[in-house]
Amino acid sequence: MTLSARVRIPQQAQAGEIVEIRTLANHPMETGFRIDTQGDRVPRRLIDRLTCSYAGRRILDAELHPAIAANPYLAFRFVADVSGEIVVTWHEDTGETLEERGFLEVRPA
Amino acid sequence: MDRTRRRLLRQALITVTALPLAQVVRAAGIPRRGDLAPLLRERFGDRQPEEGGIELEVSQVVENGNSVAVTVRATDVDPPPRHLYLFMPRNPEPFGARFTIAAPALPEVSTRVRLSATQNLTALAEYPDGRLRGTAVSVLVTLGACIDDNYAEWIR
Amino acid sequence: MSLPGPTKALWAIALALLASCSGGASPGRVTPDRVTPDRVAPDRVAPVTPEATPSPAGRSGYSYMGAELRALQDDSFANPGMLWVDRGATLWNEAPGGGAQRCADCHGEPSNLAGVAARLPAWSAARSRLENLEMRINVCRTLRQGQDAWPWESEPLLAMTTLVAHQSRGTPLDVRIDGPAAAAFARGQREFERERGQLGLACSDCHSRYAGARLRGDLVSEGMINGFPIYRLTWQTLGSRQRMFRWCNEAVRAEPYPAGHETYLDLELYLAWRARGLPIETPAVRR
Repeated sequence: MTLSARVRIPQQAQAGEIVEIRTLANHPMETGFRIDTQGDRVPRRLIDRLTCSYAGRRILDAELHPAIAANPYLAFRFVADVSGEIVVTWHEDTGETLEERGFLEVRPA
Repeated sequence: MDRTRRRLLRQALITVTALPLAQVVRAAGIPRRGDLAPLLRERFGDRQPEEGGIELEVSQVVENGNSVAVTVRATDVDPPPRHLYLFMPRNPEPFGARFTIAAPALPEVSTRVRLSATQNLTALAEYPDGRLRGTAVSVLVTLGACIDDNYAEWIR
Repeated sequence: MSLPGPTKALWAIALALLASCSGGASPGRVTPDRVTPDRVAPDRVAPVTPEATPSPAGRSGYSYMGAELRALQDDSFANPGMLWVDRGATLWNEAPGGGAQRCADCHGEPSNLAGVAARLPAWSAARSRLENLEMRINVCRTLRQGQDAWPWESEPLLAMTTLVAHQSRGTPLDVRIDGPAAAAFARGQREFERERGQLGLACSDCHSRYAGARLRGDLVSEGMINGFPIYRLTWQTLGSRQRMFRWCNEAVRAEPYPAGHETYLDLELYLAWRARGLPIETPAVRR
């Protein structure tokens, strides 16, 4: 299954304004603890990392474990200071990644 | 012969019951469920978190432990912490998440977590100088009417 | 032993709780003589006529949830069911292969199907059968697009069903139960009242008689199906009405039917009528 996600990246802000990025990935966050109807363990498969960069700076690096709910949701806020590209990347423990990009335009206050 | 066996059995029984359970558990190296101390020692050594400077927003009673909204926010922000942590002491894997945060991001993250039982959800903030601050909230996880032991019926 | 109905139901619920506390017995280990034969108490099924019943009929499962889960359902970004709406929209615009037309080629925007989900299941004169939304989608897929039908509860079928039902969000359920659908409706109602499984519980025991009561931490809802497909936290994923029927049957220790079984289609029609007037909430969030 290929990774998919929805992400809300702000497009415009005034300098100094606090803006929010919201992310929701489509993923079972399989813990490796569950047993299927045949009595077999469902293999572990997680999105174990989410990173976000803004105007070339790594502003968030999240390390995620099985206690994060299925279809992982993550939201965080930052101060808009310069116009720049925003890149959100999900990393699955299989090595697969998914990237979403947006551009935040910052107007002087 | 019979008497010897009985005596042996009795002695074995006394030995077993006299050994406190906690000691057995400790000797076997099994951390007590719900006890974060071994995990924190492994990760932070002798550093002890100081209470406060961090907020944890979560319902105190949740209807289903599979998805619990949580916001963790540092309020001691001069300087801001480098990492925020979430721990679920009674989950099979108590280490929930580590968020590494750099300016201009605010030291604040919202997510949804799994809680396998009623427990003290714990958040820590780690500062650049190694200082730790923390807080915990007791979250009651209610149990549903029917146990879902057939969840995999549809898995192909 | 002859007990009045409600007392018997209480005993059954208590037994269910005991059984679930002890970890649950596998159905395979049950000896046949312990299984209560399924039956319908004759006084339970009262004839229904459309004009004799007021509308709307009941309260949505939404009102049986706490504030946090209601907020999750209402959050158009964070509601996890929206992931299936997104995926359905991708499929809608994707060529299915073999030169076949896309959904978008015939229907235009998905919003052109607004209201469709509110009228299903419905009798198909062309195929002389009762059809729910999943079946309608597969009719399009096999007859118009020349593709294989999507299997029940497969991810693409769930996604397309969720996308189409989402277009009817806010539209009250309004199915027809007269004419050729009348027989299916009557069977569906009977199914709802049929005592079944090891606990001898009928759907109506919990969802009519004890709606609003507590079973452990759960508030028993009225079993209204206006939110499907739902994102169910217990499943940690999205599921259809058919999956819910199966789940409920297993929870009361009755043998479930396969998804799409005629009995479940009849039941779906009856339940859609029972939820008449309630606005569609797809994708709803439920416990």
